Amino acid sequence: MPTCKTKTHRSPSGRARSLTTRGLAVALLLAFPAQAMAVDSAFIRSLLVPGTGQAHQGHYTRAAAYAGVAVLSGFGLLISQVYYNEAVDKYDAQKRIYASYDETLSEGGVVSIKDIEGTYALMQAEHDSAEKRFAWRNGFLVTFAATYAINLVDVLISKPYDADRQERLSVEAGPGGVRITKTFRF
Amino acid sequence: MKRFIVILALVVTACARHDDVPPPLEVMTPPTPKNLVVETVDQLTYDLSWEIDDPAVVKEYRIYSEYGTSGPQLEGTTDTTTIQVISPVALSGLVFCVSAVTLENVESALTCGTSE
Repeated sequence: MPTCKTKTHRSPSGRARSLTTRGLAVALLLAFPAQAMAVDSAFIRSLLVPGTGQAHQGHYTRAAAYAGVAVLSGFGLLISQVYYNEAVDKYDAQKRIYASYDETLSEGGVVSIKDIEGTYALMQAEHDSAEKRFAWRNGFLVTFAATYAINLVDVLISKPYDADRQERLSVEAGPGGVRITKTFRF
Repeated sequence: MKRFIVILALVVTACARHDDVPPPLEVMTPPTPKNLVVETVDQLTYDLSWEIDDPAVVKEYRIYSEYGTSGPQLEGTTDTTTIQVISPVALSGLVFCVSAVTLENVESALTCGTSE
């Protein structure tokens, strides 16, 4: 029975990218040598998808928070970018019309003052709309970038959750009576 | 942290696709004709006259007629404040409009009047 052998060739650019990623990971891990081994896998996960590193470490609440904020801000970034592009296109269209009036006048053509003033007002309105949407886009971008960065720093400085050491609910009997302890983790 | 904020601010501002609003065209607002009077001479002929505040800046006047739903139709131009217009259709209540065109080729708003 014939067998098939496959060889995988990696392109030089792919190899270079891989080396760069490894170099970055090594550099970051060297910065936190005490927990380097423990966070290695978690860091890579958080690097790929925010929150997954925390989930790997057992911090599920934080994982959900990072993933949730990252997804919401990422989605908001995408939508606000689309709306911003739309506003810029409308503004550019009005700007082209307004510039054409200048050309018409310089070529000896007649332009109505109603058109000149109306187009200028519309152009300003579209510019204001683009400015507003630009601010929204930047807000989502900063939120997304900050969430991503904090998620990476958090996964580097966090210790994996130790279930044995951190009992959620315990009952202790002592000379003063029985004490119930509830542990919350964040 | 401060460096991170600076880099983030630079990235954000570098991604702007829109620029500032250009300055408005340096044109003078043309004077608008006023007190347009439309006198009917016969079924197709009308005498139009109007007034203007600053005739020195006006190069010509444009006369329009409005009938049907096609909007204002240019009937002719004149450099005086009176003109006789011969309408292509015999209609009662025909609307005539006049505008002033300045030496910079900027046309004013229309002033309209109805034939009796």
